[in-house]
Amino acid sequence: MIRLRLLAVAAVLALATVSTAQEPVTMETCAMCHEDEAAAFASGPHGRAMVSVDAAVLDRSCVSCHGPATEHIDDPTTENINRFPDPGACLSCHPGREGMTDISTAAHVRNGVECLDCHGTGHTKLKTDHMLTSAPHKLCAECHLSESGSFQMPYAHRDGTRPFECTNCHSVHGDNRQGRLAMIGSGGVCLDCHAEKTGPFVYPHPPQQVNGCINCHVPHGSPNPKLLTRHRVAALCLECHTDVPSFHDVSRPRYQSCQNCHAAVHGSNRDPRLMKE
Amino acid sequence: MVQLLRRSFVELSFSGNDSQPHHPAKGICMTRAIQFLFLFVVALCVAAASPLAAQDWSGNIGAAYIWQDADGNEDSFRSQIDLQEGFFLEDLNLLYRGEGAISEFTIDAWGFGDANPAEAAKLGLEFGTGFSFYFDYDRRSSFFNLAGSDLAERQDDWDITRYRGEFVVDAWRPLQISLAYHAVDREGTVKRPLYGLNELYPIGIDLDEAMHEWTLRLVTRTLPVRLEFEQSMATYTRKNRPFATGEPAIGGDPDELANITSNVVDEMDSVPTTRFIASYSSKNFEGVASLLWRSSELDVSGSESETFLIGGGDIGTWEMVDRALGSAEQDTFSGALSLGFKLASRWTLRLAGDFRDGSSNSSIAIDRLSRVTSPIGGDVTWRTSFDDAGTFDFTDSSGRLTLEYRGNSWALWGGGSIGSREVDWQFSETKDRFDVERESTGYLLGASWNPSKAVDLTIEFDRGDFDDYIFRIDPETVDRATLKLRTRLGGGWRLDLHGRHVKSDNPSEVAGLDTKATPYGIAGSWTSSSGLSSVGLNLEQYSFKTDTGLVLPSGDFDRSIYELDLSTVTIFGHTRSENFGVTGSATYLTDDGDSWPVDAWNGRLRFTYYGGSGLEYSALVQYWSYDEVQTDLDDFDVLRYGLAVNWRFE
Repeated sequence: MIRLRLLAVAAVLALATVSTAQEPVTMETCAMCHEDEAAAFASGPHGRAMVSVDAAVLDRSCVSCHGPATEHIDDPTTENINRFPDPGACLSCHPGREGMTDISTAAHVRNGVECLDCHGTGHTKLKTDHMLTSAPHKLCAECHLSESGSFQMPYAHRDGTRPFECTNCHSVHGDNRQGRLAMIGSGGVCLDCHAEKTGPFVYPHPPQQVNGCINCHVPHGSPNPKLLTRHRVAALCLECHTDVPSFHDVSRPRYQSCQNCHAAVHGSNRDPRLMKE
Repeated sequence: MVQLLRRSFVELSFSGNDSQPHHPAKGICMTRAIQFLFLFVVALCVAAASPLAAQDWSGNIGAAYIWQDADGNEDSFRSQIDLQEGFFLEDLNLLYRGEGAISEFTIDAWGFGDANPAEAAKLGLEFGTGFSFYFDYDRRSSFFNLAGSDLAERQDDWDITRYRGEFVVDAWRPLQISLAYHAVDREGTVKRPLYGLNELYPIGIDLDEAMHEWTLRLVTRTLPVRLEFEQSMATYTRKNRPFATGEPAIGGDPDELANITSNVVDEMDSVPTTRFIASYSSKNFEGVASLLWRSSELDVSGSESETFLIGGGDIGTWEMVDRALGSAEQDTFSGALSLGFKLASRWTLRLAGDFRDGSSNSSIAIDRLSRVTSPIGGDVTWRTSFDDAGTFDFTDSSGRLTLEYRGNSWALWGGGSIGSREVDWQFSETKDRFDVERESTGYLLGASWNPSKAVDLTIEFDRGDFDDYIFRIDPETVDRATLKLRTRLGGGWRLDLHGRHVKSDNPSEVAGLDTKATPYGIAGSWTSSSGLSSVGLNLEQYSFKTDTGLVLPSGDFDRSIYELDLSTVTIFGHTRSENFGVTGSATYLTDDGDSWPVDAWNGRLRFTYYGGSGLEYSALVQYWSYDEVQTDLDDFDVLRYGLAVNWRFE
């Protein structure tokens, strides 16, 4: 009988030990040493977003990113804790849209771009769009040097001294994209601002309909006015138009810019020759 | 359809054009109204949150005044950069977090003021009950007035203003519901030539274009597959009004454009857009499908009249009134599918496909009334009419398959692609029908080596082959080779190299296209361990040459050759001590290509003194120069200097 009682006590103690060992380390435990970091995280954008889902998510947040800290609690050194989270740590909570960079969208993965290369951890109070650590044009320029350099061209998409943000047009993660661009309801990223060129038109300009704006314009920056792909407007038009009536004497200034007469180059609702909008 | 339109014409007469008068300041008034409205909303929110303790707020406010000295063509500078003298808001960021009814309140704004061509503001209100409201506003100006360009006869001075409000319901965890309103306005003035009486006459156009869009969005959050559904409804209205500028004909012709008026309204009164996205990811699979369907209907109605004084009125007048009734319908369906499979521990298979199908048809009926009046009395009037219709259909589809093997510190991948584009259009009943299908095949090979975070090397080659031609400048083959090397050398040093060569061509019986583009560059930088100092150098070179066979209007054969040989050098750096900071950059750009060589400089320097209580006082110097080799009509040197004050608080 005594043996049975001892066995029962041992079993309870063993179960209790197992239970304690499986109990996840909570933020409260971490905050005993890392008080400032825990407080900053809890009041920051990441912590607040976690609470809006479930307070328990915030409780587990330290170990979610830094790994199981059981060893670290007994022996607090930097050797037995993930100071910087593994990429998988982010994706464990952000599958789906945010996670579409891991397998299906290849280039960022191949080049070693990880979540924390662009996004902050949330240990600061400051709130930025999508917790980015800097403006998108600065983050993208870290790798996309040639594209970033295009915004130094005389004519470029920029807001005064600020370059246009890459994410205005590009979908960085794998969802909602066609090619490298975001799929936008108006039918194209350019048309989100330049709505007047959306159409439909009674007389559309076919290259715009088929190839889009890049048929004639360079979207990032160009040495040419209006971000055109050629300096001479007539050259740009004549490369496609081989049946121009002979009275167009291209040696005269009047005929060197076809748009002088054919003003509705993006499409006309009144004139098959695109001479009236 | 055309006959229906024809029957609906009202009596056409010279007095039937009730055009609105010219309002040159309308765009400016609207912009100010939106700014006022926005500031009013901000003030209202601040007032609503006023009982909150001051320590709950954090953020920064920065404003600057800048002076500008310009030599040369300042309008050319504005056509490129569009900066001016005056006050502007550098940054406004306000953040409040609390436990009351408003759990979070944010404002981010920049650019407001006379000196900047763009401004934006974002307001966020999050309520503790799971509701939030966001309001975005941005305005961008476009100014264009060059003296030495082919486009010298065109002048732009207009704004695009966008505002978007969104109400988001997060109260029910499984589903996020949001209602959004999005508007885009374009207002201002365009000046351009009008072709009439075999001559070009300068006209102005008051722009009045508005798009309004309402959207309902549903997003699932607890299902294994994330589903996003969006339904939008939009209207777009264009009521642009031309006016005579009173300037003589561009070619010196004695005839004058006395008057031009219009009451034409282009209206797309039904543009429903349906968007659906489904995405799923697991450890070994990612998949996302996006679909978009959009149907647009355009109605055109109204008349436009032009009055010319022949020989300045000495010979007579010529009046024309065009009344148009037109319509166009367009359906667009787009889809994209992207799948990724981890087949085994080191193999990854990626499949991607895109589909886009557009179908449109249009019709128009135009009645033209013409009248020639003699200065001594008497006139001749005649009427002509014009009916037309067109169709435009296209279908694009493409698919790509890539297989990748990843070793411990390297990866190899390769794949193939197929695509097709079918276009079937009849631009006008007077033109032949055009129906072509163009198909493509391609492949790509690539490798990367990244033994650590310190080194990352990627090389890739891809090729595409195409048959048939929709446009004569379409390529038959495209080859592209890319190299990228990123290094983190330790001690804060990094060195990056990148280069690409793209070549495309088509046969001489098409256009004899021969295009080569080679951008390459090197970037090096050093950042101190504290992050308080850095310095860097970027060198970029872009060589581009395209050579295309032409058929001139005279029937002669010629070639269009466009060449760029662009070099860009940028140095940049910053340093900061306890109380002082300096940030600066300088860029030199030169194009030695034969087409239109230029030299340009720009530089920026900012000295900052960090005072107490979060206050920062800055002095700014900015410089731009632009020098075209073939003409000096659009050259400029612009020096800007100013003072800024920023206050950061927590």
